[in-house]
Amino acid sequence: MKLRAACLSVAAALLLAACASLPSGDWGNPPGDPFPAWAERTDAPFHPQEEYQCGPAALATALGSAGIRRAPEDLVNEVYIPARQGSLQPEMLAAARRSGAVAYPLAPEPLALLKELAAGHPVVVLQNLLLDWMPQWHYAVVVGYDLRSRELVLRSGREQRLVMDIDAFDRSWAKSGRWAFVALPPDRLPATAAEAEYVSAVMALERVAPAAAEGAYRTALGTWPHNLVARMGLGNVAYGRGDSEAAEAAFRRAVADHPESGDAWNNLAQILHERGQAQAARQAAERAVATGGPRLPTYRRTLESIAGR
Amino acid sequence: MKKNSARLAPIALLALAVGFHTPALHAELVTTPDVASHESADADRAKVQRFLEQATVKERLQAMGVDGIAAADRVAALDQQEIHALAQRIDSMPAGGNITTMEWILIVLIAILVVVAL
Repeated sequence: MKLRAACLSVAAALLLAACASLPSGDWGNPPGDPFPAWAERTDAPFHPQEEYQCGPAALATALGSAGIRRAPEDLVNEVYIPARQGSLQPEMLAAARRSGAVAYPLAPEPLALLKELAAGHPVVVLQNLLLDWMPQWHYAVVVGYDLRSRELVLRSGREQRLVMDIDAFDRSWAKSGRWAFVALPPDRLPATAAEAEYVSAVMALERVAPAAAEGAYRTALGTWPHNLVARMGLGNVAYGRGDSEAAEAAFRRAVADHPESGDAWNNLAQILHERGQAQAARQAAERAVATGGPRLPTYRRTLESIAGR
Repeated sequence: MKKNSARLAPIALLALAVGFHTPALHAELVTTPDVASHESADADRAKVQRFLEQATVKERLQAMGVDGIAAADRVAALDQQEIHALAQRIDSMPAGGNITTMEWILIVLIAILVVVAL
């Protein structure tokens, strides 16, 4: 075992020099938008990983920090791939969604990671602990940073509180293209959330966990009240659970904010039709058809079904 | 003509299957992903392609040791872009895990070579 470790370090040290990677990132505190010099989620749960299973362990830590308790053993069935002895990035995001969290991929830069940590959001990262041409991919959760000592704090493998030098971490992280995501409860917006990206993350949640998505659409609309996709999503989820009153309210708001959206008029028409408001339904369907666009055939069918009765 | 219809039959079946797989809002509500996308006339073709990609990903997961029911659930939790990415390059995508036996052997071999060379 000792010999192995010695061989590994010799090989790694000698070959690291020859290995090309992304340029090192900027870990400075931006002058215009400063955040605390240090932050740490000391309460982020720790799950020592079993063999090959850093994916489930990292996920359980991130979800637990978001108030969603999942055991790594249960997550194995959702992310682990036996033949690869590991987990793939898209499935990590998907499993977070299956647990009812919004999985939000971060911009691949140190600033995004630090901002989320400053907001108390642990970040799941993909690292390559070896070399570009002989990778050892590893998921860990960054739970804190200290810019004064240039260190990061991670839940990683069997280490409950791994303190890593920022530059060493950045080298391992850069090799994955600085891939990272946060898994947050529906009522919590990521610190670095961008409008289109956040709404798109919620949309991916809608099919898997509609109740959670409904909350997250509300969160999005709290910050971006005029977002059409989020407003329509809210209406669609309400409709899906049989609440036609809430659905009608959402679609009414959608056409008020976006009278140019045929989709909004179409869905409003359908809801009004089902709620027995024939006249208003017909007018809405006609607005949709008049708007046209790629889904005109759908609008026509809606109008026909309303006018036909 | 006959040849054509023979070719079209599986596509028709596929289209039928796609129809069943579409998460149905019962009526003709425009779904949220459709609101977000600006895809147009080719929507049906895109649906067929999505269906094929889903099948591909499920098959690959099963081939890599994930059992059938779990594989289906896992594919269902992926969004369109993720399914597309997996269908394209599931084998070359990094799998975060631990170091594998094969990698250990390689590392030790290289280390020995390096030591010998010195």
